[in-house]
Amino acid sequence: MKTIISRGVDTVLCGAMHALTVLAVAFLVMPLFVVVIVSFNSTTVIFPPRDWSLASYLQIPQVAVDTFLRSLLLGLCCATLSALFCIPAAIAMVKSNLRGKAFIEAALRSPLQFPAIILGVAILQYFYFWQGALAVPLVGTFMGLLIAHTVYTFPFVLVPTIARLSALSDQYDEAAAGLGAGSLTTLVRVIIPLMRPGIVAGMFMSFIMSFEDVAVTMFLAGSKMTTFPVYLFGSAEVSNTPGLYAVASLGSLVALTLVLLVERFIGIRTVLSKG
Amino acid sequence: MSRLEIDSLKIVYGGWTAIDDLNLTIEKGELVSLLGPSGSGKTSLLRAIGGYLKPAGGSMRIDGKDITSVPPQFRDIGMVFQNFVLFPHLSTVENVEFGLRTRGVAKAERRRRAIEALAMVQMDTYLDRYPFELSGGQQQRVALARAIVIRPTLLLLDEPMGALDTKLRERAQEEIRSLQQELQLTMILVTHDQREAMAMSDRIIVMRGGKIVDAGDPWRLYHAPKTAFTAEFLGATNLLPVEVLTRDGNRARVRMTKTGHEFEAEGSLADASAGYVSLRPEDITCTSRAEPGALPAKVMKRMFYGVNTHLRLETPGLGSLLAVQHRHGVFEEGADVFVVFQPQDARLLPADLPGEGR
Amino acid sequence: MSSSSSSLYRFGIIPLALFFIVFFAYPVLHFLWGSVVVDAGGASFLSLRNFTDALRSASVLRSLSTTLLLSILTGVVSLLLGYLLAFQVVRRPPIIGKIIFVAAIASLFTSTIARALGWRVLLGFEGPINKMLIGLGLVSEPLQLINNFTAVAIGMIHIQVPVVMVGLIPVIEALPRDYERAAIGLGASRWNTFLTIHLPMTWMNAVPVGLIAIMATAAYFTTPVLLGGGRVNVIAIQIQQASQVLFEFGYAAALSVMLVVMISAVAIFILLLTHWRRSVRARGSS
Repeated sequence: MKTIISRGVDTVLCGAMHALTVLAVAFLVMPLFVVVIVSFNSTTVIFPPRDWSLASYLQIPQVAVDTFLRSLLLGLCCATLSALFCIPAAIAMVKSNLRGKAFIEAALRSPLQFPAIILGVAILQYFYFWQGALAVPLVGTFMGLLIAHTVYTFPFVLVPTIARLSALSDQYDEAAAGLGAGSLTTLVRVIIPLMRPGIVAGMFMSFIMSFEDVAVTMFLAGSKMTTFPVYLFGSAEVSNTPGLYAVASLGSLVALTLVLLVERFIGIRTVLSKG
Repeated sequence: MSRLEIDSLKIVYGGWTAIDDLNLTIEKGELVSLLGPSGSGKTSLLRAIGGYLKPAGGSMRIDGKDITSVPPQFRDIGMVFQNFVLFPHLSTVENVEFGLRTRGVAKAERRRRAIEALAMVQMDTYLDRYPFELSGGQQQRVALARAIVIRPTLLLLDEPMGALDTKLRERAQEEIRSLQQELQLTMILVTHDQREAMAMSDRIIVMRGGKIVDAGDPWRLYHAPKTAFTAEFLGATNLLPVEVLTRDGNRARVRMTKTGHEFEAEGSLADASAGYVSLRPEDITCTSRAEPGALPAKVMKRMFYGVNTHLRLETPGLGSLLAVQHRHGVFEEGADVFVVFQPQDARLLPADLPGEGR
Repeated sequence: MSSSSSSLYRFGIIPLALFFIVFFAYPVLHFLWGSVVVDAGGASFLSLRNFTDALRSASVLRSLSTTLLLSILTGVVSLLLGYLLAFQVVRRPPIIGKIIFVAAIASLFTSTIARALGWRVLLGFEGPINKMLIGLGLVSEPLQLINNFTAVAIGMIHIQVPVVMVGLIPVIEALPRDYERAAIGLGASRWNTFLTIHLPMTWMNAVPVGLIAIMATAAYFTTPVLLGGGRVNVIAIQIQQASQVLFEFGYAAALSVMLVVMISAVAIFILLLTHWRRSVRARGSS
């Protein structure tokens, strides 16, 4: 490509790119700030706020707190359950002589790109079947939500766990064996501890995806068993009060705090690298 | 510490036979080096002894007990890997305790023995450090302590100096040898460094192409190697291709294949009539004055190494020679000199005789 | 590692595999199969009625085109902005890169609902953007920026840009700096370098990331609802209404199949592009 660009034009274009970058960064963060600022209104949602007050924060409904705690618990259980499934699975994928690994891995990765909305409906239909034919109540129960969330988020744990395990040298197994450790001891005392960064990174992603999911949960939640994002979504659909923004801000605060913690102990880059 | 016997060992990788019909006995309390170039099979042999490689044939016995099909965790053999393979998530003392923990040793006893082992390698002040905080030399010592604390019947070391700086190597060689002698360990070392093998070992097993080509104590191997390959591999030598003219007991009159120059050598070639004469550089004397039997030579290159000087000489009869001088006679490049050597230092050897060393 | 432990470890896949089959593979396949099964008077038989009904419905066709348009627009704009930001993160001084990265991560991990709410304020009639446009004299009346396609597009772009950026950072990092230095050493301007070196060598790895953004956007639900005001009917909304409001699971399944086909077409396109890229590289041209 022979595009000769003069010095002057080059400078102008580069300047334009820098300006565009600044605008893009502003574009990314503006909505986040706006939500927080607007929550300090007392009655109507106006930017900038006419009368600053903490009223909206002091009047947070109990249901918001309940769903928030429930979502935290659900996310934690989901991350843990995913890890329990994925650790042995990763070991099987990396360390065993399993046949058809490529196919299995592709299949297990499929929930990642699969539309959440379709999954939500499909699981709803399936849970109705369990309720009807097997008399096991799942719609509107914690267990049902946990199952659905785990199905949706386990690939986030599987991928970094497999990546981390693949990177571990075979020699650790040999060293442990030479020191008298059998397979189980080697796994528990050496391999799994060394897999920890991958597992934790995955559990973090799983927690976040579970904590923020609406599309799957909204089909499976009940009136007494909603999650925080579904509650927030429902409120946002029908209303527009400062209270709404206050609750949203607090939710974001928790997510961001978690991100900071993970960055401090593992590093975001590890979490985001997809092996 | 124990005696290891290996019979007719065969190791196969895919379709390729790495080792075939190998026999070896290692006595109690010996430090033996498996020495050879890359691909000689020495590492495969070591790994087979440790149980990390399953042989395709043959058997192995420790103190008479057959261990051929026993997995590594039950062989009671200590192993120090080339890059140490310390467990990164465990501290120094926890690493050393690992082997004791798997054997069900009680907590207090474990700690005591681990500290004792670490003291033997002078690492008892680093108990709570993690491997990433330790230098290469320190990691090697921890790896050693971890292997000896379990009181193994045999200790295997795979290129133990490979990951160390040159300066540290000689020190480490001394320390490992001292430890081995003090604890009377039976130790098998794999190395490609002949100086290391000669310095540390009671016996050296020279390997090439999956076979043992020579074996014996370092002194014998250096001064009376069985083949030209061994002569060249241990230390430096001048290998002169010759034909045998006449023989008289141990003496032989030989002729250079290329130049036709004749001289006296010692040794025999069994049935062959052509072979090599191995002449070590330190056995060549250079003088400025002609002596009876001296050959004229020209100094082509001179390399000063402090402790000695290497001279690359060009002679009409013997071709290019490497000589080593210590003190007397500092010769400049381009100088004309005379070289002398004794027939008993000119060893007549077959080219390469894949034999069985014991 | 011995062969016996190697065979033993195989069983580790069983819990996950069972869970996957029982709670993902079977439900999804069963549901999608329902698109070709119709119940009539107690008996069920195969039929394409769900599909024909859907394709004859004007609102479905409109939602398909809306979804397609939204996805492609979002994908393209996110790719461009994401590439720009990824480039800045990788090639600029670490402080600037860190600021950009942090901004993107903060956005990425904030819930989509909170972000949509933020745009609701920003794009409103009395919101800061309209106020600024009026204040600068560019328009005389506030623009309809909310509750329409524009708002949804902005919202979706806002969601996908950080994802694309994170995906492109490794792509740009993979380009050795030496090429850039060589070009500058030979006198090329910065833009010249970009056009002749960076772009040709990275676009083949960058485009798939953009295509993934398209796939993700096509399936989105919450943002189009919150920012579209009921006027932006993407296929996800159709599916939700068919199942939660009308309880027509077969119909919902037909719509789902259409969405899956749309997404798969893009995925196959990515695959073909990757293979074409590989064969081009094998032939030696760049």
